[in-house]
Formats: sequence, C-alpha cells, structure tokens
Amino acid sequence: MRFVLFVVFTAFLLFVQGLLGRLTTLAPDLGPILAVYVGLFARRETLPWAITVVALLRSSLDADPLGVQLLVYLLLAGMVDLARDVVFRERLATQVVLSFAAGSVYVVLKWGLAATLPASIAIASPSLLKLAFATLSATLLAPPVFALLRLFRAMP
Amino acid sequence: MSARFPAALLVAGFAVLSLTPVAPSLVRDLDVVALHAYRPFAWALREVRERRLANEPNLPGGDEVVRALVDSARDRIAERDAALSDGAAMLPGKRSFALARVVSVDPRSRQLLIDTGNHVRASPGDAVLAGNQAVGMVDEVDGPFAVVKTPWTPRARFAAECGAGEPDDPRIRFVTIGEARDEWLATVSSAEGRLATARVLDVKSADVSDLVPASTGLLPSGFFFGTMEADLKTAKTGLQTYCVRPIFDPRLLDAVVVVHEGPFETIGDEDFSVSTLDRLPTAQLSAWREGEALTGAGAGAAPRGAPVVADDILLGFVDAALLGAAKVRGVTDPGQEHTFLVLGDASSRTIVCVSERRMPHGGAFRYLGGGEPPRAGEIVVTAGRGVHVPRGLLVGQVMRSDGDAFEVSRPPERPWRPVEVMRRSAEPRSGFGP
Repeated sequence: MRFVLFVVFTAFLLFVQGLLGRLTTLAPDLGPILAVYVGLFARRETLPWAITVVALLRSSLDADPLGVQLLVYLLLAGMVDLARDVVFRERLATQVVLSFAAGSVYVVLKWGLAATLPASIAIASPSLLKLAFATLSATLLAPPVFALLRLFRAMP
Repeated sequence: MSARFPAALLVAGFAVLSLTPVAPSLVRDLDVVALHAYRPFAWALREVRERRLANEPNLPGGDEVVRALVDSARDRIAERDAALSDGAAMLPGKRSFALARVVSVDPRSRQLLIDTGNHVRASPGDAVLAGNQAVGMVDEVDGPFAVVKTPWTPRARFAAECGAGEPDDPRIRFVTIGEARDEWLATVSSAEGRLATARVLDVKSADVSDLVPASTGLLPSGFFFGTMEADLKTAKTGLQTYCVRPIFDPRLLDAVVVVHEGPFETIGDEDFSVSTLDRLPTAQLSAWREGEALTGAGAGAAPRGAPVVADDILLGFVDAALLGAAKVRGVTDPGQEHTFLVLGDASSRTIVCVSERRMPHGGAFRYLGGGEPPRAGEIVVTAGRGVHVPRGLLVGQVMRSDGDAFEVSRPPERPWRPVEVMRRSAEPRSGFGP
C-alpha cells in the first residue's frame, strides 16, 4: 500500500513539474530529489524498483531514453544509499545537502552523457543555467517534498 | 548479500540493454509511458492558442494565404528552372538534358554533389550547365547522385577559349588548370603573349574535338565559366601568367542542368518519400518553446537533417532520432546556417543566412552572402541543400529588412497537428561525396 502511495505521489509531483515546465520558462527538476528520497527512506529491498518507477515517470517529461534515466537515477539513489548509514536522515540539513549533492551530480552526469553518448542515443542538452536553476530550486523544495511524502506515508 | 544488489543489477542491465539497437521499440517508445493526464490540459491549451493565434501578426488569412504563397513559389521556381535550362535547350545534336538539385558544395575540393532525381541517371563525362554558364563535368556517379568536377577543382583541366575571333580580338584556345589556393581560380596553360593586356577577358568553354579523341568528355562550346586576368601572385616573380576566376559563385547554385549525349537511363519512382507522424502529447504543451518537436512512433526512421513539414510549411529539420521519437530543430531556432532561395517578382537568388531568433510571427535572420539581402514581400523557400531536402519548401515571406537583418513572417505553429517527415528515397553510399 505504501509503495502504491509512493507511485501515486511521484506521478503527481512529476505531473506538476511537467506542467510548470511547459507553462513557464524555468521549473524545478524533482527527479534528483525523488532519487534522494528513495535512497534515504526506501526499504532497501525495494529501492531498485522504486527508482525504476521514478525513472519511468520522469522519462515521460522529456525525450531522453528511459535507459539513460534509469542509469542516472539508480546511480544517484545508490550514492545516497551508501551515505544513509552515516547521516541523520531526519535532519533538514542532511536532506538539503544530499539533495544539492545529488542535483550537482545529476547536472554533471547529464552534461557528460550528452557529450559522450553516440548520436543514436539522443539526449537533450539543456542550457547550464536551466539545469542549475532546476537543481537549486529542487534542493530548496526537498524538505517540503520529503515532509509531504512522509506525512502520507508514501514510502517505497 | 542484500536483496537490493541483484535487483539493482537487473535494473541497470535492463537500462543498458534498452539503449542498444536490439532493444524492442516498446522499451524506448516514450509515448507508451507518457503521462496521459496531460491530454485534457493539451486540449484546453489548444483552444486558448487557436483563439490567440488569430490576433498574432503571422501571415494573415491563414491557409488560403499559405496556399497562394506555395503556388507562387512553385511558379517562380519553374521560371527559374526554365531559365537554367535555356542554354542546354539550344544545344544542337541528339542531346538530352535534365535538371539536378545541388545537394552540397565542398569548398575544399570545389566539387558539387548533385541529385538528378530518380527519373534520369547521369554518366561520367556529362556536361553540367546553369543557363549560359558552364559549371563543370560529372566525375563520379552513384545512383541518382553525382560528383561534379568544376574548373576550380584543384588539378582539373578544362578546354577554354577567349576572344571573339575578330582581327583585333583573336580567338585563343588554352587549357585551365584548377589551383589549390584560398580563392576559387584556375591558371591558364600556354597563354600566348598577346594576352598581356589590362583587359579582363570572358572565358568560354571551347570545342577542342580536333585535338582530343571523341571519347573524351567535353563541355559544349560557348558556355561562359569565368573571366581571365593577369595572375598577380606570379607577376611578382617576373613571370606573366593568367588566371581564370568564376563568373558566378558556384557555392550559391541551387540547381544545375546535366547534359547527356543521347537519351538518359531512366529509373522511375518518386524522389522523396513522406511519412506522417503524430507529435507526443507533451509536445502539444511545449508549443515549440524549446524549438523541438517530439514526434511519435516511427520517428526513429527519420534521418538526421530530414525536413519536417506541416501543411506545406517547413517547420525544421530532424536533429536526432530515437526508435520512437525525434528531436526537431525549428527553422527559426538561433544559430543555424541555412541556404535559402529568395523568390522576388523580378528576380530570384540563392542566399546564405543564419537564424538569429524566433519571434511570435516567425523569425529573424541575418544575411551572410549570396545575390543580395532579401526585401520585404519576397518569398523564402528551401534551396534544396542536403540529401533529404527538396527545393521549394516554404519558409515564409519577408516582412521587413534592414541592412543584412531581415524578418520572415511565418504561418502560426499548431503543435497539435501531425507533421510530415520527408526523406530522399535513395541515398548516396557511405563516403560518396565531393
């Protein structure tokens, strides 16, 4: 039940992000912070499946291949999972710092993959400004998003 | 070992496999996993936009005006093609001729890649003309595509002559040899001393059939291809040599005429194939803000550079394609260099320009070279550069021009309408080019 709730809330959050992205010039990217949420709070045996859900839903917002999304989010969640045992995950500072770190890795990965992958695997390469804004704004949104998901016990 | 590692490996393996060509299209077909909750918003926005478009300063009158522009462009291109064929039509003997699109011009080798279409096939040695000008000779052929060697191709030799044959203006025959210099020119072999004149002489292709065997491919005589003048570079060494400069800019040719002895070999099917594609639901909301359209299933077959057309209007070119989607770069997106045909009431010309920015009614461009900058009221269409781009796709109508800058008014975008991706039904083999 909690997993289903997580899927529903993830779909809702990404839907809002997609709508904002289409109606405004700049919009936060909630993908990395959802990966951080999964890395911090998911049960470990369901972590890969939760990330698959995030990547599947996130891939509907742009033309990047599903495989690239999966690999990037899996890597982000894996990194957070490694740090999970040595941080206080309930603290706001932890959530903000990890979200910022994950967002930064996400920007670097996205740019790196766009530059290195062959043209047959087309990846959109948005401007650095947009990516930076999306990451920074998502970092600020991390505590309320985490609080919302935990309030409704949307736990993968 | 925790249970998450095998699952993570499974997911990562699936992710990597989905990026390989063996992955089924379903895995990468984004439409399958698109959030269909967008659709009601897309429909609502479509209605809002339809009403707003009526007040935008796009080409007024909607589809009727666009249809009239397309028809007008077609008529003017037909006139231009007729003028290009004038010289070839006057040639004596059992020669046949056909119009060919210039696909690309290589500035290094100074050769052209032309496309004669599927209805005729050129042969090596065929003359290539444009009106009363000689462009060169077919060097290699690959299906409907051919590489044309010009007099300015390094080391290319062409028989030429100058002079009217009058006592005070004798006819002199010589051979031009293409030079590998920064500018397009050919030097003149064995020029006679009497050429030492300050005049600039017109150079024409010459009949030298009395000097070379009949099997040698020759340009028909009497077609202009340059002007001869003293070569300033060698003058400094004390030698007086001469060079021939092109009488027109071969880089700006959009079409040429191929002349063949006897009838052409015919193949006979359509030159371009067209596939209709839907756009992804999310593209309806983006309204081209990012300059990219996402087309639906089947878009992966679209080759890079293929034009994307809606209602006979060029929207842009395929930038990259997946199995299930394609990114399309809009024609007005900034920073792209285009070769366009500008069709005016009195004249038509090829220009090179760069797109500077998108505007609500179309786009702003900057003229880089060619005949002369476009003027208000002239129609802009594609010149046919690129294997998959036909000539004459409507870009828009020039609304205003100021020096090198000009604005093109385009019909309003309707992102909910399906698009058509065009592709040449034949493609040159890999590595075949000028």
